[in-house]
Amino acid sequence: MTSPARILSNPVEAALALRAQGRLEEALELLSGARRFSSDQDILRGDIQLELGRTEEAAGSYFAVIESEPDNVYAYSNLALCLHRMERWEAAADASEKALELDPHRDQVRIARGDCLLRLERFEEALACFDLCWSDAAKEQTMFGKAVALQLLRRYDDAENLYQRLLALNPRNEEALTNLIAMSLEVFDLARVWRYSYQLLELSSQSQTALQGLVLVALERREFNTAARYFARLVQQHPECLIPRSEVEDAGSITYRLSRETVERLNRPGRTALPRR
Amino acid sequence: MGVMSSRTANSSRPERSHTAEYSVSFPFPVTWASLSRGKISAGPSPAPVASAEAEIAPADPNGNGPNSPAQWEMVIPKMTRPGRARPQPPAPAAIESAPADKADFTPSFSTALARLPFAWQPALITAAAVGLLLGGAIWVGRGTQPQRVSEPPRAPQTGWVRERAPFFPESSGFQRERQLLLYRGSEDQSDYRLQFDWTPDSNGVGWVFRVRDPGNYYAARIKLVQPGSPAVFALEHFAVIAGREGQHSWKTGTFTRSDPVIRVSMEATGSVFALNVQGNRAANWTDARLPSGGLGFFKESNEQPAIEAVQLSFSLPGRDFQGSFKDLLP
Repeated sequence: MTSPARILSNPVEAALALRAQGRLEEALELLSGARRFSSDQDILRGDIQLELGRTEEAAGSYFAVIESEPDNVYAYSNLALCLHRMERWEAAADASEKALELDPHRDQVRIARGDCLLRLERFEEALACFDLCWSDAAKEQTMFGKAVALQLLRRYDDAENLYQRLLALNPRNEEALTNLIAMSLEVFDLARVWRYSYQLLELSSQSQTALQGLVLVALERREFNTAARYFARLVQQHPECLIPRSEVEDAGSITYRLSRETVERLNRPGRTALPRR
Repeated sequence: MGVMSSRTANSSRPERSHTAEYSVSFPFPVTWASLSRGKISAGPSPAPVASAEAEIAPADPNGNGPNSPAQWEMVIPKMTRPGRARPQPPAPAAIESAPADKADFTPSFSTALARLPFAWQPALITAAAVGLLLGGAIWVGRGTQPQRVSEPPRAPQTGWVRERAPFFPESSGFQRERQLLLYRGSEDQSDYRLQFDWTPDSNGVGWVFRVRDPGNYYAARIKLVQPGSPAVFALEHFAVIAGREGQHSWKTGTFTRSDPVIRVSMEATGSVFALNVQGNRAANWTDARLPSGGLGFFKESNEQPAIEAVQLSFSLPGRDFQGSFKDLLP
């Protein structure tokens, strides 16, 4: 039980005790009602708000800490996290930059900043940001971030090289394979699209990207029966793919579109090969 | 068969002109969702045996042999961190100059010889000349290499000192504190070996090395995470730089024998650190941030670590320590 004397003497300690018991709402209420003793109080309030999913309120708490302690790297890091969750990429990138000025060794903050820069389409800056990561703990994420930045900069050879190194480290990296499929499609290398799609399907038998890639390659190679087989699997696993999508929805990604006629033929029982044009 | 539209204007696959109505689209987006995983932690430190990084870590190139008790590989910070201005230690107090005797002070140059009585001067000059001649003869006789007269090494001031070391954990904004028990005489050392006998328990035992000051040091800890046969231990190591604790690297292993007391040793050589448990290599890593500094133990609670014999060995003679851990405590 938290005694009133304890609450009065040290609300942070009392709130920590409540938090340890899983009584987050009560801990938050206690902190919000108490007179402000120190920035620890705001930090704890921010942490609890973050745990409760109240991201905007948490951002406010961390901001209050920064106002009184402009060098508090923890507050800056978590403010960046809140802004990232709120998808305020520009502000999140700024907050993480400030955190890194105070402590350049925080690779997780740097990776978060790289993520923001990718979303802001500042690919060169993102690449430079990932380059500054130093720890082995962040190695895989750093390599992945660099590969994505290189891919978006259309430096495909460098990007593929990095994805291959990632796959050597972790052959189950599905996102690397997904991006390799997209990249191979950009250069319309059907052999690679097929290879990476097949590899991805072995890892994840329901992968939409893998099945789409295999349908696409088979269609382009006019292997209609193969295309129909993969298309049937695709529709079974992802029936939503038959819902027409607007170009806006597909903006930002390479998209392959099938005509109504092709789809009908793929769905037709007793399928026959499409005539060559 | 299909038509492709690219997010970029200069895709190798040109868009076909078409009039057909398209019903199904296959988008192939570039994604980076895995960058958002494991983002800045707002909660407590992760549990020791649940590191996802370890699953993808490459095999230890430094040879964790087939007899190694290691079950998976540790995250090893091999790279040097980017440079960072370290907090400067407080400047030593200026040495006060001796108060000058201001009365009748006239600057002048003189030698000790000039202050001697006149009768002694010829004898001293002769003695000095003979000494020079003898010295010259010995030097020529030994060859052309001048022999540097070295001072005898000073006996280091050894013993154990306690220091409070406040720090900010990586996972929290709250300042915490641990107590360092440092071996005096190791402060200027870089290469050394620490060995101790430990009765495995869940509290474990932690030690510090390359301690520059209470805000800059490396630390490692071993603790029992699962008793039984075979018992499982966890090793962790981390750095505290400028009062901020960095990421912990973890590794688990099993004891190869069910000894009641386990011998643990760690060697620091340059930027390479090697840790042996029961004579088997349990971990090795590199870190070049702190090139030298003291050696000792640390604790974060009031419980005393279950250590018996402690042995410290240094590359310089006269600094080694051998004794019981209990002897170190007040």
